Amino acid sequence: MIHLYAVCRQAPHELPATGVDDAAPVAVEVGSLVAVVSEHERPPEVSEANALAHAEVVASVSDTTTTLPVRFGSHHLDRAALRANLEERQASLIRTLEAVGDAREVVVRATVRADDPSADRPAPSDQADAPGRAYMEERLATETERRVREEAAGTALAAATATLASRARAVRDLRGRRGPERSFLVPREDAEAFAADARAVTVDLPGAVTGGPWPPYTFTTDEATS
Amino acid sequence: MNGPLPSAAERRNLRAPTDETPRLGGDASLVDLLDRVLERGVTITGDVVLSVAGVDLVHLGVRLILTGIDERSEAL
Repeated sequence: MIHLYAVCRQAPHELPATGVDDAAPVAVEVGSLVAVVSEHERPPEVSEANALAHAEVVASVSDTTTTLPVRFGSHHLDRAALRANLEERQASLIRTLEAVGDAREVVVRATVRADDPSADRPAPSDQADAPGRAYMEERLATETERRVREEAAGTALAAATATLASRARAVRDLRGRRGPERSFLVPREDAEAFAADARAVTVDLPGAVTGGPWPPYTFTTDEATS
Repeated sequence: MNGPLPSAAERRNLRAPTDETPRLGGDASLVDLLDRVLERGVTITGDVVLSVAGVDLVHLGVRLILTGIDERSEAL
């Protein structure tokens, strides 16, 4: 069983000693690509610990070579199957690798909580015994209110980070799981300074959280890098 | 990277993504990285789908991890 971490154009200079389930990551040449994988006798456990192990390996690989991070959970029967699956996608993977280049991802998120604690209204769970219509109207009102807060947070986030956008090679605005987020694809040499500046310009933005520099997880499709 | 990577056993003892992990980021931003690892990144369709009664176990496991992360991040 093969667990796939990342796809690169060149083999990384070094690999961490352990990855998912403590297995040693290795580099495997597939045509003009290099896959970073680990081999397992049993399917790796789908756990938070292994997701972090996956992230550690991808981060290490991307420190030394241009890297496309692979989403956690890509399993292949053996090296032959891995080769077949990658060769099928080779052209588009090379195109994306070249578009991403030697860049890192920095994200700023504006946290919007599921329910506004300042709202003077019972929580939806308190209404569960109410007639169905009233309950559903309450849920709808809560969701509408959250959408309005998300839109306001997204507008404030875009305004606060407007000066950063011109320094990025690409920008993606997404509705994240915790609120609107703006991801920046930044040249590696500017990534640390960019993250520091992102923290500085959002210091007064309510609920702002800055992450990165990380491997470019959000920029792994052709349209994301254009 | 400062110091050796933690073993899988040590990582299992991580209580929450709020623990200090300098390479990946600390405090609340680590939940954003886990979102990326689990929901973004390039998708290479594997030829192994682990399932029970038609349920994809990897997909189910990922949803469970994300639910746990959401619950913790609400408390941050």
